[in-house]
Amino acid sequence: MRTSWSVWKSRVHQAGRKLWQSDTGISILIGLLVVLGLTATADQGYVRDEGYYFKAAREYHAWFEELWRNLWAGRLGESFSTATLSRAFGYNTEHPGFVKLLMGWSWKLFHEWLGVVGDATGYRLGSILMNGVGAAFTYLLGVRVWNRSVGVLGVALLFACPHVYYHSHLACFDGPITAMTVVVTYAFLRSLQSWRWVIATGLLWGVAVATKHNALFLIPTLLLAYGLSRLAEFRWTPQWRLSLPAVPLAIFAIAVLGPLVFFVTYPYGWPAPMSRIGAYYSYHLHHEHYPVDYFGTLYTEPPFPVSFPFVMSAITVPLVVLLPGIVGWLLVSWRALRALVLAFKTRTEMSEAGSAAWLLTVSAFIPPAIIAEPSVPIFGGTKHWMPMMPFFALFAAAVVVAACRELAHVRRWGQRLVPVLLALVVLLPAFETYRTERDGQTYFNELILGHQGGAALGMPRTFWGGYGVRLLPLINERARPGAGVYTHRMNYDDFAAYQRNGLLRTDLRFVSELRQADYALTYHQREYQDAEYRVWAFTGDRRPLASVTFDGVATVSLYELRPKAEVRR
Amino acid sequence: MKRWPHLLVVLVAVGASLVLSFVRLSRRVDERDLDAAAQALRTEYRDGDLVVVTPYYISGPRERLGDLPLLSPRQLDAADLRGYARVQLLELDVTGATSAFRELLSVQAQAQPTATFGRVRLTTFVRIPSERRRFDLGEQVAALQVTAHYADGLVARCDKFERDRWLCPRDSSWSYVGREVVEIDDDPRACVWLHPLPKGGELRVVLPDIAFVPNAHLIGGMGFAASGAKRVQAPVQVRLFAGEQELMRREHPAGSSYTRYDVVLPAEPVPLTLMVTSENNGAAHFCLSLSTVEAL
Repeated sequence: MRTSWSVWKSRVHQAGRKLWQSDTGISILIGLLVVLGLTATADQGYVRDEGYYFKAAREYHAWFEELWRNLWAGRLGESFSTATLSRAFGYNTEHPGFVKLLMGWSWKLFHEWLGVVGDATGYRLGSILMNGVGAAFTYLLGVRVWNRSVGVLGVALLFACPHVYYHSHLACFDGPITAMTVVVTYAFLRSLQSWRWVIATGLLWGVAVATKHNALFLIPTLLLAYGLSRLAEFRWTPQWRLSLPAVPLAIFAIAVLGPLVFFVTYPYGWPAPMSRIGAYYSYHLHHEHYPVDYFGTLYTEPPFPVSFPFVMSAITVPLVVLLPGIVGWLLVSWRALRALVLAFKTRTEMSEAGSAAWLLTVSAFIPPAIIAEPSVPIFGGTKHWMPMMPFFALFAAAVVVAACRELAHVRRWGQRLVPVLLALVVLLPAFETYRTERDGQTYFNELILGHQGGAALGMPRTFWGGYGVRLLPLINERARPGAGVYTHRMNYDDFAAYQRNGLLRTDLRFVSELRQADYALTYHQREYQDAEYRVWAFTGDRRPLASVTFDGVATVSLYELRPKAEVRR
Repeated sequence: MKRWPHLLVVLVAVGASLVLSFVRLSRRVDERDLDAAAQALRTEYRDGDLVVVTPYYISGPRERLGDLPLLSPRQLDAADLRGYARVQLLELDVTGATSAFRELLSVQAQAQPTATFGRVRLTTFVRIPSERRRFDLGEQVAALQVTAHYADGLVARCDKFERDRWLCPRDSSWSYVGREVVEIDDDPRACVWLHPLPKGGELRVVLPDIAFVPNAHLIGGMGFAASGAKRVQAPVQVRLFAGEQELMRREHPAGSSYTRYDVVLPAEPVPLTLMVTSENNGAAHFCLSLSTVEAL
């Protein structure tokens, strides 16, 4: 008995050691570290949409609880009736269900049952878990295309970017779709050589499209990258017929399995798939245009400037990631082109390295290119083309790792300076992230000298209303019982969530009419700046009680509303 | 460096990041300097002064001095200085700061010695000729008499006063006369909301007697709030009467521009009346400022 126990123990030990020495093991470790790190620092204010998603996740999850009760009561069918599904999943149907279902379960498990996280973090954990998976696959992609050093450094640089770090905490879809983009891209790359990954690609794309509609653009992205890598195989036959390379099997898997996964995770669409899922896509085809401030011009309708996503990336990614990232992208593109030329010359199939180079080149370019199209709505800062960032971070990491190798060969002392260089590369952007930790979406990089430069150039200073959280303690301290608070870009659901999470006194009232409030938050968002002007007119005083500022530039201000005394005739 | 191309890229990035971060940090204004400058300004401040702060995106000066007449615009126009005896210019030497305001003021007024507090500069400019504001429409909203002459023939007093605005009987959520600050032509402007009535109806505002000062100037500007300026359906006509005499007739075009005016009042005291009309009042979030200004 003792012998078999020690053998078993030894095997487990060996398997564990093998796992942690393997890339799979390291990727799991990276994923876990990212999840733990993001969860521990999820103290950002609730952004506008989170209030809606908290509510949706709660309502969706209630359906599972009802399902459980119905199961034991012998009336399971009731849970699947049109009326029940419409009631349970009829809120926030303009976004897919998967992430919200996951948020509901993470809330139930980690907040309600285990009690290890707070109410809001419980919901956010669903999204954070997906970001952990994305980090793991970023590492795996880095290893596949380059090596472990690039993989690890790529993940570090990705989360050292303030915008990425900030959005990765939120109970929203931008972090998860960034994660799923890199997951699907990795799976597609593997699917070119493994039928198992063909199936996996179909299923994972299904998860991606059930995360956010951006996943639809992954299909042309993958096809374009694949087509470019197989360009040498496009040829005219002697009969003047165009001979095409074989369509990758993963595309068929995507076509078959993807919609299935989407359908399963969108219960609102179960009773009437065509009309309800059609309505969801129709909403995004006709999405309203939001205003955006760009170089001092407030754009409210198309055509929007083509340069917007490229310029915004150039001034919001820390310089130490930006410059190597651009160089890395150029080098990989060059590598892809060379592989293509070789394939033309030798009339052979392109190597995996060449295919990977095309895949990365295209994957980093398409997300901003879509937003650059002048009729596409460009609200939301940089988050809408954030799926480019894992690839971009890997490009940067590849250049840095190559630089470290070069440095190691510089005379005798080069080797000793490698850790210093690495530390600078990671710590400089990490410090920027630390500095703007709770307001990362407002960050502008060194090139334009930070927030002051962004404001001076008339760039979008803020959006989404999350950072009012820093001013809530002051309201809690000063407000009389039952005082009304006008919260501007913070919506009612967020207000209620702050109260639920103990960040705002429960006796305070949400007031949507500024003139009836005792306190007003005003966010410095150009298109909504008039709220602050209304405060000035109402009180005759332009002094806020307090503001959240970066280098003197305010992102949100708190006013006490004492109306100016008027003497009636 | 041909042997170390990647290293060169990374070193340039790291070096540039360090240098530019240092520059960024050096451009921050110390809170103590702002406190000292604000204190000095309050000591120097007199009734009839205007405080001008530049650049507009640094909020510290407004947090300290926002109870005083204060402008912190993107663009400063000489007309913005009308009606003030002196201008206290507070300049912050931060990223994007320019000397445009100082240059404008140097032409318009005589500069006193500048006091420097770290990255903050305070200069008093004495305007020549000096002026003072005897009346401001926004400050005296409660003393106005407002009447709505609707297109269907109904004439009704807008006599419900709510804090700082007169509400008209129909559609009072937007049909009122009250103090506002709205963005017009890229800058926040203090003005009085005068949304025209539907279908060519006439909004009539009788100014209090104190608005009239013999031979003084009536100055101000008008425009549509930026939030709706692109949706404005038709121009707005503004007429100003001194008794029976029409002193001013302006048509402000649809769009985001700001129209300024300057008219001279007659010598004999007469009641002043503003009349605002528009053929189509759709999205006409119209706002007008008016001050009586006399030379000192």
